[in-house]
Amino acid sequence: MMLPSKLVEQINMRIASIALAIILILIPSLPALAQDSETITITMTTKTVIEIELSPTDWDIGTIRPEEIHESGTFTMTNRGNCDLRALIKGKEAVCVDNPDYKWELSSDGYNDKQIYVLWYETSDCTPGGEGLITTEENVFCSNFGIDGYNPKHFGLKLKAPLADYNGYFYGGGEMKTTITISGVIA
Amino acid sequence: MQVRKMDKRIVSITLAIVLALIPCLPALAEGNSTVTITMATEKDIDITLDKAEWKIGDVEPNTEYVTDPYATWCTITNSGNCMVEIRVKGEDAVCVGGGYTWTLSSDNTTAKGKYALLYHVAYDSADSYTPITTIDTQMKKANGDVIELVGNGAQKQFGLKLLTPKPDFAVDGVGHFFRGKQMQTTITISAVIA
Repeated sequence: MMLPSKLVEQINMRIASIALAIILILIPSLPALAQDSETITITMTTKTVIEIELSPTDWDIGTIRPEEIHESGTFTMTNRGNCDLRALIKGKEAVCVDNPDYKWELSSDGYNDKQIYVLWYETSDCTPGGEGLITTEENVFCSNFGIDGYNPKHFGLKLKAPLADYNGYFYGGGEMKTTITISGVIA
Repeated sequence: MQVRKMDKRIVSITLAIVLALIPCLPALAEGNSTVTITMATEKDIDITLDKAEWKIGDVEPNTEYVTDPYATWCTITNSGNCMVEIRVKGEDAVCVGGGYTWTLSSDNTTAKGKYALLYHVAYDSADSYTPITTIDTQMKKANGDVIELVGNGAQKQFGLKLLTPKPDFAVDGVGHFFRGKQMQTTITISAVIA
């Protein structure tokens, strides 16, 4: 269908007006384009500090007999680093100081046996709170160990001695020693 | 009747002669004529920097870091064909992984989460540093002289200084930033016609 010539003329004029308006709008931007830029990228790294302070650092149970259960006092751990952490805990075998060949293995299931002892932790202000088994594998026992150096976390320990080696006694009769390791990984 | 017809013809002929002469009038007005030709060569605004990055490495809170050498670390060269004025602007530093920012100081003061960037123009007064801000600003010497590169090949050198923010927190008097992060920022040096 052909458009009337007058209408075509009007449309042409409008197109020309719009084009002119666009050109006029663009003109003020032209001086701003007359420049050249170069950049310098600066990179730097802030250090990662992971530091956990533990107090006290020892638990002297004293004399222990087969199947006895002992509970510690309160341990306090403080995040002295600059990262929010998850605290991990793991234990290990107990070794006779005078006779390293005599050992108590650490229970992996919460049951004691001959020469197998059990360790637990209990926290009140950690997430997840409550009691958990300490094994030779690292386990998270405090997932909300944040950068709050003056807001420390607390936990206690519980130890159950092995079954007797014979007649209600352990072999030997000496000092047994073990270590619990608490470490932190960035949350 | 015939006289009127003749009058009309005379008028017509006269008009035709006048019209025929009109284009010749300027030529008759003077003996020489000139043609003025004007044209413009294209302006090339182009600068180059001989440094594209500054890797500072590990940084501590509230500490000053300076490029080495402090005054002639980076050279700006005018690679274009016109006199240009040099401008500079900075931006906030951001953690590469996101979620943590240091805002760029508008002067040379720092605070928690606020760092400062400064430049020193070579052979200017010793220790005269000028803050770089997020606003595109003329690069100047300590006395206020604007840095201009007069033509192709003209050069100017400068160095940078960065002041890290104050610590995010402190433990036993030792300041720390929140965990270890890679921070990145960019300085833009631009040239406009002087």
